[in-house]
Amino acid sequence: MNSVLKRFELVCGVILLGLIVFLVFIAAIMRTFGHPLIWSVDLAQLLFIWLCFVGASRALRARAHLGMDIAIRHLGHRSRLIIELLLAVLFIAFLAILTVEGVNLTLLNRERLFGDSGLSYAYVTIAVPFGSLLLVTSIVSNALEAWKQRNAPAADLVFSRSDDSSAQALL
Amino acid sequence: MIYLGIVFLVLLVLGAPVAFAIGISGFLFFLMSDVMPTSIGVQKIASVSQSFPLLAVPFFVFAGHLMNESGITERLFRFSKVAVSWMSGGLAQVSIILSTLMGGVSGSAVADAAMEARILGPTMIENGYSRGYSAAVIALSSLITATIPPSLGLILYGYVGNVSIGRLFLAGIVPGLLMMVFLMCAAYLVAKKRNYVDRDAKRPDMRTFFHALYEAKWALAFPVLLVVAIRGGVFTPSEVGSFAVVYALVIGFVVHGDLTLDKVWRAATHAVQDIGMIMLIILFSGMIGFAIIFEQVPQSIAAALLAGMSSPVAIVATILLMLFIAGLFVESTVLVLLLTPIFVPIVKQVGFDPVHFGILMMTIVTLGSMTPPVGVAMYTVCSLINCRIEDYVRESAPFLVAIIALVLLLLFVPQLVLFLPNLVF
Repeated sequence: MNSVLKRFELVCGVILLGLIVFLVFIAAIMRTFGHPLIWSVDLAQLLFIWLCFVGASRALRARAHLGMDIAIRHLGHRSRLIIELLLAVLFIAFLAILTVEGVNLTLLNRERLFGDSGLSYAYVTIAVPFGSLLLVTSIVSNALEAWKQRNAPAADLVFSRSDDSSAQALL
Repeated sequence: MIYLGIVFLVLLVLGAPVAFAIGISGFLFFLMSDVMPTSIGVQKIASVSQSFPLLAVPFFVFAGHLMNESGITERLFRFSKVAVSWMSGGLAQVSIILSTLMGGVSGSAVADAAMEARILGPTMIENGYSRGYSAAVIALSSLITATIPPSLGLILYGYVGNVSIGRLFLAGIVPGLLMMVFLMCAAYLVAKKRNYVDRDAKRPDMRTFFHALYEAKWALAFPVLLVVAIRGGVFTPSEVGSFAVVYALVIGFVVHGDLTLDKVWRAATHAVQDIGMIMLIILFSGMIGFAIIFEQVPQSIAAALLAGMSSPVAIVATILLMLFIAGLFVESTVLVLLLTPIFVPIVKQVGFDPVHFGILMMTIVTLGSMTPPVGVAMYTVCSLINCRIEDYVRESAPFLVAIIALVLLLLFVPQLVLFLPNLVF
């Protein structure tokens, strides 16, 4: 399940990125030649939020999100794991509320149109609950992984890597 | 508003990813507000993504990764080496020149520092440079990328503060080049005293120099084309970002022939991950940004600041000092997102040009990632070349003096920053 999701994020992310580049590029070229494509940039803008969430989930799975470790760097592996597991519970609660509120907002937004292209704004707002759920799956799978290796002192945590691998990650 | 700040700081100290610290504290505002429905919080997240200038972020991130894969970085490195490695502290000079040139290709200081630590760090130590000096010059020279266009930080500043990104890009050029000169002087003085020289390097003759220059022409032309395209006002920075991606593909496949589909795939996957990391912070900051404006935080801070001072330069200097202290602890993207909406109105109110302020602010907050106790660029470089933080700090002193001298110069001589944008726009 986890590897399927990972693959799905990767492929979706790359396709979304490629499409957005293409749509904005084509719109700029066509406008230069006097044939503006209004829907092109609107569609790129709509896909952008989907790219953001898919990429955010991928970064979370790779434990690449920036955090400050100055205060907790010197704690033992076990204490850091407990802190991160508690944070994980808090984040899942936060994302769950975002999901519910996001669905409500989408239902309200069904009528609202997007730019001049006739696309429904609901396609934008629905990305928030979708992205929140995707982030929940990455938090859960990272937490399970970290829990399984709870006795290995240099194992990765939920959101951060062990010190040895974090320097490598930035390369 | 106070409890938002407390929740934010507690989460940050516990090591929570910055995106979630910002998201949760911002969302609390909507949860606890009597007048604001909770779903407006979600609305704020979604509406951030609907800003056209922000589309420049994924484009320039992707273009940067593509240029690394398409042999552009390598050619810039070879050119820098031929051009300056014969000077005193030659490898340090190479690092500074390379940061300047890379600043015109990718917009990230940390990526630049990591790349240089890998390709230059080991050679510097082999040539007898101290570890502290090598780490300091590599980390601090990456500060140049903060103002040379395309700078991701300036795109964010322009978006949040509603300042022209085209003007910001142009304004960053002269300060970036001056930063290069100031750092080169500092590197030269220390290296001269310690007799740091690269044994194999000799002064290039005209032919070798122009050959290396010619080899790197497509990479060197990129920032020039970028500025020309935005300058005309025909294309927006986001559109130019999409051109940058296409440019990198064309150079990589057709001109250099170094690019393969595998490499494009790899660049795209790296880019997706980086975009996700940066954009989650930005999307979630939509809520806290709204709370800041709604609670009239800029007005209260402005009232406190303006009560004691009247001179615009003194006020800006105070703000910069506050930014410097905040930058010691907090990552630069976060500072730009949270503090730009507070400070830009104040700065405008006292008649200080927001473009001028943006360049100063970006320099100061980016410097934070090169200083202890919290500094991503510093930790990356020190761990890659195995340098103790104490040594790094001691050896940074001459470079810090050069940087502070430059910031003061830019603060008191606005023309250095504003000359180019005023000339063009």
